[in-house]
Amino acid sequence: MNPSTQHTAGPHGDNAAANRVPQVPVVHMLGTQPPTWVPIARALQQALEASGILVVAALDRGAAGAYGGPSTESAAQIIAFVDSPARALAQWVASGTTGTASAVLDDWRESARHLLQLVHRESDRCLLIDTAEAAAAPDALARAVARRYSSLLDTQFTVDGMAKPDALCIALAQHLCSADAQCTDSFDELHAASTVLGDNIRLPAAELTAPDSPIHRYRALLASEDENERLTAQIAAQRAEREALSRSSVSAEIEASREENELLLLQLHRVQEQLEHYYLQQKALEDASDRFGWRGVSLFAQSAIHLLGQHDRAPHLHLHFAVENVRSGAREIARLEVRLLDHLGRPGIAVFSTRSNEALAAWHATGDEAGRPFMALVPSDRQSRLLLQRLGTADWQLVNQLALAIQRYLGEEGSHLGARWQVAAARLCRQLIDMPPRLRYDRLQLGRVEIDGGLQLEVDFGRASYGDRLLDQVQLRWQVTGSAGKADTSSLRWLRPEDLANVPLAAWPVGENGLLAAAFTLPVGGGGDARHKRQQWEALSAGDRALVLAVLDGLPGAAERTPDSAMPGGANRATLVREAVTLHKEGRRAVALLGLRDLVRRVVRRTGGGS
Amino acid sequence: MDNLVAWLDRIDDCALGCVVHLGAGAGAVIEQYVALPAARRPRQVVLVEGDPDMARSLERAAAAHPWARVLPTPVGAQGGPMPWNRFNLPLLNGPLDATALTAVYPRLRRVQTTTVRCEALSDVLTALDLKPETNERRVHVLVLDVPGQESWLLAALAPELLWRFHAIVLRGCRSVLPPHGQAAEAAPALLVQQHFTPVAKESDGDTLWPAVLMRFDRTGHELAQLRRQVKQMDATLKERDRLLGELQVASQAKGTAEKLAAERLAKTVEQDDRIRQLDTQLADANLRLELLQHEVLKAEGQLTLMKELLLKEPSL
Repeated sequence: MNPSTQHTAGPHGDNAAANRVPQVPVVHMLGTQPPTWVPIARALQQALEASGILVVAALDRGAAGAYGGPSTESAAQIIAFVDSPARALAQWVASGTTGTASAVLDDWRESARHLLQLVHRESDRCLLIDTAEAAAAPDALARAVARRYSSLLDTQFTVDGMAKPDALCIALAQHLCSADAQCTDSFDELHAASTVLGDNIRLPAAELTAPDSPIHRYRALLASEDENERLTAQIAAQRAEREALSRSSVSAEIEASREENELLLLQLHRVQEQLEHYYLQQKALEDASDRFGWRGVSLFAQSAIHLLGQHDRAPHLHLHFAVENVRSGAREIARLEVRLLDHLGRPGIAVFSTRSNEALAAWHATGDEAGRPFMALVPSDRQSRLLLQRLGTADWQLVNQLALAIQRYLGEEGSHLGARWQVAAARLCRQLIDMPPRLRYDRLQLGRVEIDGGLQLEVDFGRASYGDRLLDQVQLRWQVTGSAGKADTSSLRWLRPEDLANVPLAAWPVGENGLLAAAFTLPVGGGGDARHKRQQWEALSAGDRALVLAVLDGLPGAAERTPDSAMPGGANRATLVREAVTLHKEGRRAVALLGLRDLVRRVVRRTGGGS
Repeated sequence: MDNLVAWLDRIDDCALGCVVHLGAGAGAVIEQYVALPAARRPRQVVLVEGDPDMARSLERAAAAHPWARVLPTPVGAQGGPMPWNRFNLPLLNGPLDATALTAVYPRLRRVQTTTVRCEALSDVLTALDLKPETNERRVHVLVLDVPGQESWLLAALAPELLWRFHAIVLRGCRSVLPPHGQAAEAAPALLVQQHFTPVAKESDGDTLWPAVLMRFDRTGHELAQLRRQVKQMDATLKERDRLLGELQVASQAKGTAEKLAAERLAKTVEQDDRIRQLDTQLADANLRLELLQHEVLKAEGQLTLMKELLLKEPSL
C-alpha cells in the first residue's frame, strides 16, 4: 500500500481545509526519509482520526515545505518521526531496494535539515517522536500523544509491519554512518528535540548491542589513550612550570635583596658626603662668625642702648647711657654704663665699671664719681690718646662700637636732645677713626724655641689687628744677640700664617717652588747688608712698610712682657726691650731714608740730572 | 543547525585568505569547507574548538587537509579559568548554561561541569598574525559559531583587531543563556558601531539560531575616521586660537610690567642721586658747623683771656 494515497495535501490544501473547518484540530505527520516510521504513523493516524482530529500525513516525503509540512502561518500541530540514519540505512540494506547508500544518506540528511529548521522555528507546534522508541513502546507513544492532544481517546494501538533489520545490517549501517559527522550531528540534535516517551523503554537487542561494536570500543580505547597522554603532558608541564616559578622567585628575591643593599650603601655614602659637606659648612660658618665677632660686627647684635640722663651744664656736658648685653672679645657684659662727653667742645667717651678689667682689659680709671670709677677717653687729650694707643684689639673694637652705637641712637631717637650731641658723637667717631693705626693685640704669647742649636724667642701676637684690618696670625721668631744695644746680629723672621689666603703682606716672598715662603725675614738687624735691606724695603709697598713698622713698633711692648722662662740664653728683659727699640728705630730710619732718597731722585730728575 | 560555512559563498567576489572558525564542532565543518566551490575556498582555515573530545575528532577529520589548522583551546573574552558545561547534545557544550533550551530539546541534560583554562580571543587572533595579503586581494573572515557568546566575545576585541576581518559570520541564540549570554541582536548592533554592515541574514527572523553575515564597510570606516580627524583638527585649532589669545594677553602684560619696571628703576636712580646730593650737603653742613663751633670756642677762649687780662691789668 502506498502511504501517500491517504490525505495527501500540500500547503495550500492544508490552509483550505483549516479555513473550512476551523474548529477541527489539524495534525500534520511527517518525518525523516526514508519513511521507516510509516506503520507507526498509520496506527497513530487512525487513533487520532477516531478522536476527531484531522490528520494530514506526508508519508513519502520529508519534513516541511516541499516535504509537505504546514506553512508558518498555519496553526496546525506537527508530529514528526525521527529515525536515525543508521536505522534508515539498515532498513535500506535489509530491503534490498536499488540505489546507493550515499543517496539514502543524502535523502536522510536533507530531510533532517528541513525538520530541524521546522523545529528551530516552530518548536511549540512540533512533537518529535523517536521512531525506534515508539516502535518498542507504542503505549508510551499513545500516552505522550494524549498528553499533547487531550481529545485523543484512550485507545491502545499496535504497530504492525515495522521492518526489523538484523544486527549485521545495523552494524554495517552504523559503520557507514560513523564517518558522516554531519549526519551524526543532525541526528543528535533531532534526538535531543524529540519528546521523552518513557524512562524504561527497551530497544531491540540488535540496536543495543550494535553501538558497542568493536569499532566503538576501539575508538573509546584510542580516546582514553589520547586523554591519558594529554593529562601526562599536562602534569609534566605544570610540574616544570612550578619548578621554574619557585626557582625564579628565589633568585628574584636574592636579586631584589642585592639591589636593595646596593641602594642602601649608595644612600649611606650620599648621607656621609652630605654630613661632611654640612660639617665643612658649619666650620666655615663658625670661622666666619668668630672672625666677624672679633671684628666687632656682632658685638652689639643683641644689645640695647638706653638713655639714662643728660647733663647740659658747661663746661663738662655729657649724656649718660646704659648698654645691655655687650660682648667684648670673649667677655659677655650684661650691662655697661657709658657717657658721651663734651668737655670744652672736645668729644670723648667715659666707661663706668665697678670692677677692674670688667669692661676693658686695659682698664685704667681716670676718675671717680660717687664711688664709681670711670675711664674717660677724649681723643683730643694727650693722656687719653696714650690710653687709646695701648688698647688691645677687643678694647679698641668695644670703644669704637660704643661710640658708633651712641651715634646711631642719637641719629634715630636723640633728635629731642639737640643737634650738638649728634655733632659730638660724629666728631668722636671721626677722631677715633683718625687715630694713627698701630698693631693691636689681645693674647700675647711668648715662648722659647730651639732652632739649629740656638734658642730663639717666639712672639705670637694672638688676636692682632692693624687699623681696620684683622691679622689672623702674627707670629715672629726673634734671634736675640744678647748684648745690649747691639742689634746688628739679631734677626727677626715673620712666620707665614696657616691660612694662605690671609697672608698679611702683599709682597710676601715666594719660594723656588712658586709657593709662599715659610717665613719673611724682616729687613732689620743682622739679616743682611745695608744694600740688601734697602732693596727689601724698596720691594715693599707703602702699606706693607707701614705694617712692618707697626709690627716693629709692637715688639718693645712684647719684649717688656717676656717671662723669664721664655728668655733666650744670655739675654734679659732690658736687653730685649732695647734691642726691640733699636730694631724699630732702624726700620723707621730705613723708611725715612727711602722717602728722602725718593725726594732727592725726584729733585734731580726735575733739574735735568742724569741717572 | 544551518551550515554557516555555506555563507562564505555570499561574500562578494573577494578571494578568501584566512577563515577563523570559532566553535568548529566535531568535524562536520571540514566537509562543508570541502564542499565550497574551488574559487571560494579559503587559503587557510583556523578551526577553534574548546571541547576536548570534539577537538580530537576535529583534528582527526582535519588531518588530511593541509589548509585546515585546529586550535583545541577554549576561548573567552578574557583569559583565565572558565566553567565548561557538557551536555548530552555535544553541539551545546560550552561555558553557557543551555538547560534553558529544554523547551526545544526535551531530552537535553547536563552531564558534566568542569573548569577549564581559556585563552582570550584577542590573544588568539593576535597570535595568528593576520596581515593583509600583499600580492593578491584576499580577505580574512571570522566565523563565530558560538551561539549566545558572540556579543560577549566581540565586545572584548579591539576595533583594530576586528577591522582585520573583511566579513564576520555570526550565529546567535534566540534565548538568552546564562551566565553571560546575550540576545542575538546585540552582536550585529555592536558590529554596526564598528562600521560593519549586514549583508545577509537568515530569512526567518524567529528561528532559534539566527545567523547573519556582516561585512566591513571600509569606506564608511575611513569616512568616520576622517570626520574624527576633522573634529580633532577643529578642536586643535580652537585650542591654538585660545593659546594665541593668552600669549597676546601675556605679552601685553609683560610689556606693561617692563615699562613699569623701567620707570621705577629710573625713579630709583633719581632718588639715589638725590640722596647722594643730600648726603654731600649734610656732610658739608656738618663740617661748616664744626668749623663754626671751633671758631666760637676760640672766640670764647679769647674772650676769657681778654677778661683775665683786663682783670689782671685794669690799666688796659
